[in-house]
Amino acid sequence: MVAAWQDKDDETLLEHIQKGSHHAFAMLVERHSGKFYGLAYRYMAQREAAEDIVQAAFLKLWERPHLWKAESGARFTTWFYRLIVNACLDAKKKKVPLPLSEDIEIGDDACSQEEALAIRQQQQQVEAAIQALSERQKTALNLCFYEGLSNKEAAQILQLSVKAVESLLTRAKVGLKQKLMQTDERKRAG
Amino acid sequence: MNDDKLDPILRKRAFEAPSEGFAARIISAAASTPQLAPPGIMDWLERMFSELQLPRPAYSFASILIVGALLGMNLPMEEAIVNDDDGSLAIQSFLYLDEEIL
Repeated sequence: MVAAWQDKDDETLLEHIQKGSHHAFAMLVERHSGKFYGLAYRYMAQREAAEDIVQAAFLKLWERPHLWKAESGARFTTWFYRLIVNACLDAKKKKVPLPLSEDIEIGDDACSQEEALAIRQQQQQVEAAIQALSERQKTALNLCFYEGLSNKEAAQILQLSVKAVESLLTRAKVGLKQKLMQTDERKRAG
Repeated sequence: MNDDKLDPILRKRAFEAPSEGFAARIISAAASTPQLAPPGIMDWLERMFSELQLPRPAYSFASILIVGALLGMNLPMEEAIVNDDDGSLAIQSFLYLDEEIL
């Protein structure tokens, strides 16, 4: 039964969801919830908030499956990434930004407390530098660098030209380099 | 700093994996949620009329009175006074236009 659904592409699953199929919905969630969570986490920097956004978006899709219009020509993932980006931007407008969670796993259990602290400091510097970017630059960076989407896909999600996305990425990286170098200089001076 | 140096730094950005059973929670939440029917023409009409506020008679009457009074006060006095002679002449000539004067 599961294998039968696994073979179907997203758009076919959506047609079944529109007919009320829970199996098709489950397959779609299993297939994509991880990557949509990844994007939401890059915006929210908090596990619960990111999970809430992705869950709400999927439930909205289940409740109103007709929101997806197959004839629009867009791929499901492109359309849903756009939903997630908009939901994250709305949520961020309403919420006060939170500091980096304290319970984030550093990765290597064997590393000393000093190393863990150094890694945490680096993570905070990177986060602060990214947060200083404009929303559009952040979105381009999240989609292309962290989610590994092509510039063309990112352009479709942001409804911009490919050149505009390339320009956003270039400016984002220039901004990040400047910010990180400033932080390094301040650390050396201090 | 070039991109080769920047990319590894950016990769150090913190990330938390979703909690266990995240996908299963979404699926079970959907199982207890009914699907909504696609909106038909009646839903569209209902929504349109729900946003349309029909004027209340008392307010409409009061508004018309106020607008009328304001217009009346702004009209120049000489235009507001009707010359009776000119008026009666005009009406007479209209009434007896195609008839012979007795």
